[in-house]
Amino acid sequence: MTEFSDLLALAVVNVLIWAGIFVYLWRLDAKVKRLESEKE
Amino acid sequence: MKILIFLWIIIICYLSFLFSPPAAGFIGESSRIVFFHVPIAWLTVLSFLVAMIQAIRFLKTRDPIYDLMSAVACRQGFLFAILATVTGSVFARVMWQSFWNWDPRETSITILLFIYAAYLVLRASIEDPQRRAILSSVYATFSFIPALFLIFIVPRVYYSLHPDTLINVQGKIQMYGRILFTFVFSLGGFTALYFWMYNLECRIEKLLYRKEGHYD
Amino acid sequence: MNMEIKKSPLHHEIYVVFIKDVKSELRTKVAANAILLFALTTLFLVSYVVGPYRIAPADQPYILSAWLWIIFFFSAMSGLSRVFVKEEETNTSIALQLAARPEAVFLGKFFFNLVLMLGIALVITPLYVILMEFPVQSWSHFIIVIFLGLTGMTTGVTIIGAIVAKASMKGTLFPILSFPIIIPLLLAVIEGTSMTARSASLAQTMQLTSVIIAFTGAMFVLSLLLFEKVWLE
Repeated sequence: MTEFSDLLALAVVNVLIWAGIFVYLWRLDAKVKRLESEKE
Repeated sequence: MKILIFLWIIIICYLSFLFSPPAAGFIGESSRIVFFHVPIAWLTVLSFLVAMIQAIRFLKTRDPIYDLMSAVACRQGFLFAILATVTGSVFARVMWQSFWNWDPRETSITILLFIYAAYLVLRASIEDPQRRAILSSVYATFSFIPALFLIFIVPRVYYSLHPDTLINVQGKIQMYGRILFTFVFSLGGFTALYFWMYNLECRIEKLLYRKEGHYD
Repeated sequence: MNMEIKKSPLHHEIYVVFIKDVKSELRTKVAANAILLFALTTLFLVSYVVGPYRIAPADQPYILSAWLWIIFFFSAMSGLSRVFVKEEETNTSIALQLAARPEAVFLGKFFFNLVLMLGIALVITPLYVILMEFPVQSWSHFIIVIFLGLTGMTTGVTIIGAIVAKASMKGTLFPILSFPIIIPLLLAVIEGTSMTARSASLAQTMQLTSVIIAFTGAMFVLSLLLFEKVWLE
């Protein structure tokens, strides 16, 4: 049976990976927004 | 809005690992992958649908922006298909001790992968933007029928002939309580993530298009 | 100046396109030879290397069916795009666009491809059954499945040929684009062919046949609708 701490570790790792993905996407989004307002 | 999506995904992580119990009938904790694998597979299908719709819009209006948006959906769908195949394969390894079984659903996702890849190869092989747009849109629309067959009909027809369907087993397992909640929650979260990703990449394409006149 | 072109009836245009392709094919026989040679080579290779005795009788229906359709599929890949590619290569494409309606062009070339494949089947199938000792139990089923399968294959693949003709890398692109499209059909058809070699229930056969017909029908209608976009500049 897997320990709770193992599952917790997995969850934390997941969250970290997702946080990384989201930071990338956020920055991309901000950049696109900036470029869009520039174009007007 | 984006914060909401992020929080949603985080909650998915919490729910799938800590909140919901492991499902009966699966080895150890491996059922948890369902919360990620099935939504990703769903995104592959959703992307295909979006790609087809945009392709049809292009063919009707001849506005190149629709073709670009169709291509975005195909690129993303390709990525999701790869992820779905990989996560499914990992699951198969744990459950059935082999990475690949040529089970109907597995075969379907592979063919879907090929359709996406073929689309991208087609796009890459045509120089003239106008022609590329027309031919890719036609291919995206045309391949929808085989895709439909693969996604819906093949697993149903072949379940009666090959009893060892993997993902259909999931469908048969009654999901209840926490597992069902986590699953639906995850499905919703990934869909929201998809719409944001798609919207983002489309905006990038639009910017590039406006900047360079016609760009791929 | 009022340029009113009197439209000839559709079936006439289809016939003309078809006959034109048949005539030009009979002159050089390029496509027919390519397909035939490919099919024969593969057939003899399979027969020589594996032969009918190396496969367990229980496995024979599936394996032999699969091989037969592999032969058909790749033969189709080596020859069926020619109807369109040669128009582009000889620069007659524009003339044809003006001379006939898109639907007529599609149907004419579709029938040409179909006749080609059926002709090949007439040669290859008996040879295959003999050389590989394919244990056909119901000949009528067998012939029907082969015919339906080839029709379905040609339906799916003709418009891809048209697409490929307008792209580059035509030779390699054709199988790449065709394979994913045709696979659902092939799966059903191979299964159907194997059913004729073992006793399969009527219900199963019916179900499979309806899948094949549904697929062919859907592809056919969609091809007709989309062909115009591909064909006209």
